[in-house]
Amino acid sequence: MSANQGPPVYISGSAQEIVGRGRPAPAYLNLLAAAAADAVADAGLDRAAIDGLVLSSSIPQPFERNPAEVAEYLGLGAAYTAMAPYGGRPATDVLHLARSAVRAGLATNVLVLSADTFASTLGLEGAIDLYMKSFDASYERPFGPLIPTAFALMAARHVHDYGTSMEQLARVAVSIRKHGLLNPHTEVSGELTVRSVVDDVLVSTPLTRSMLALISTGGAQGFVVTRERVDRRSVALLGYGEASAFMSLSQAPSLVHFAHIRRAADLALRQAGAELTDVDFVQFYDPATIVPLILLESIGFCGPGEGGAFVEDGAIEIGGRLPMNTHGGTLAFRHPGMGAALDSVVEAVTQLRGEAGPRQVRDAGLGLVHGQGSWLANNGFLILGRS
Amino acid sequence: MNDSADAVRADAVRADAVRKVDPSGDVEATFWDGCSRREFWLQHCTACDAWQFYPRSLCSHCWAPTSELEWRRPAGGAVLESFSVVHRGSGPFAGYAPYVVALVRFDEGPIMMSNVVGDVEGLAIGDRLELDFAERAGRVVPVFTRAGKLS
Repeated sequence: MSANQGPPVYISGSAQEIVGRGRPAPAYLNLLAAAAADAVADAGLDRAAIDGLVLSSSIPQPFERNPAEVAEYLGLGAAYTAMAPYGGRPATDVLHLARSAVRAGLATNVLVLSADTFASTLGLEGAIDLYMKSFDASYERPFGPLIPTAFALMAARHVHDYGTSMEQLARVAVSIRKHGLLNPHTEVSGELTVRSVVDDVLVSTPLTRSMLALISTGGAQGFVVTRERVDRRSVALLGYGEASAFMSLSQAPSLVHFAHIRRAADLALRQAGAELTDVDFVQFYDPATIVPLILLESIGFCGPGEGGAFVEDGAIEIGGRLPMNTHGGTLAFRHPGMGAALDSVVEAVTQLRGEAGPRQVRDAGLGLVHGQGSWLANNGFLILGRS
Repeated sequence: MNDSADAVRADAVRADAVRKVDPSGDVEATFWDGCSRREFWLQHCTACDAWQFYPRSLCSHCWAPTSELEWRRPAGGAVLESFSVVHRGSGPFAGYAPYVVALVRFDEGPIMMSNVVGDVEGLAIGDRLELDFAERAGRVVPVFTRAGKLS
């Protein structure tokens, strides 16, 4: 592993397109165009300064529009274009691809765009069926796992190995819901209690509905990654690490502890020249409440099996020692599709700019953002810092 | 085609039957063909003496080529690694809920996803399981029952 790999690049523009709970999303290209315009405006740059485009795939239509078509649609002119079209991606990878393009001299100011609308066109049932296609067609789908089942199998084993309780699994949802209710764009309403989460409808044991991510109709995110710092609102992209170790759950070396997660997080931290104790907040992909516990343990914020106790005293709440998912995450803000982890990047940028209002983490200087592909199979960590 | 199918059927009566893996064949199709006859064939590598699931055209442990791989039938004993009771079946599984999705470790080593069927009252991680087959929508799939309990 190499340490600090040269100067940072900057996330100088950041934008988030809100659709709203249950509302049909605008057309895919409309969302992308809005995210592009808003991100460039947020950066305070002229659109003529944009000379690169990195496009995130969307879940159902990875090739609905190739990146050169989108660049043409936006009238970017001569530009470097790339796309991350493959499945099982950690989503945070698009910021890394933009950084790589800047560092290689392929572009100076790269627009990064993501949009998803599939639950608008497919409906909730259609979206669930589509997500289920993430499982291997030959060796997993014949046995009927739901997406929550992948996390349920981890949770059941965590409970068995470490004595993690239903109350601890619920506590994650309660804490993150508090944050979501501070987000004016949240798609949920009402506080949760440990009791209400435990007593909610069982989806795939031991996980109840309130321990699982929302499914949203759509959304989009846009960023401008720049070689130079534009102004004090520019956030430094200090490190990125990524590692996969399996895709089918039957091939996972463990269901509760993952060395490749540690590897990916360590790579990001080393590039940033930072330690875990330097991290002021984390934004973890949270499709199910077992996932933040496993991440806390596998990254090393606590020991194996200690994740449940870690969250019990409110440590992950704003004001706690490691605020997590300060926007509400996919449990209590929204889950628009591939870009869910990019909502986490938007939130990290907002926090590091000191613009998070009532959910602001005091003195937020360094943030860790996690993106995940397919049930912790592939993980990408960003380290972002105030510039 | 018919001849080789008959040869497989003859092999099937012997628990210690061994078959070479056809280098030009589709291992996925071979696996499911076996299941359709209620036979579970697991790949074993003669070069490094390791088992693997799912079947592949090389050994994922030592990269020995197909010619070094063979199909063997596991003894059928397994341990429950983890499981979840799915309460909300979707699509073709809507009618089966609640049902048990499990990760199951064969005594030979490999882990597979499957279902635990039959009496699942009090099912627990670490339980001993036995390989069985179930027919669903015209397809035979490998499933497991708790050792000593009828499906």
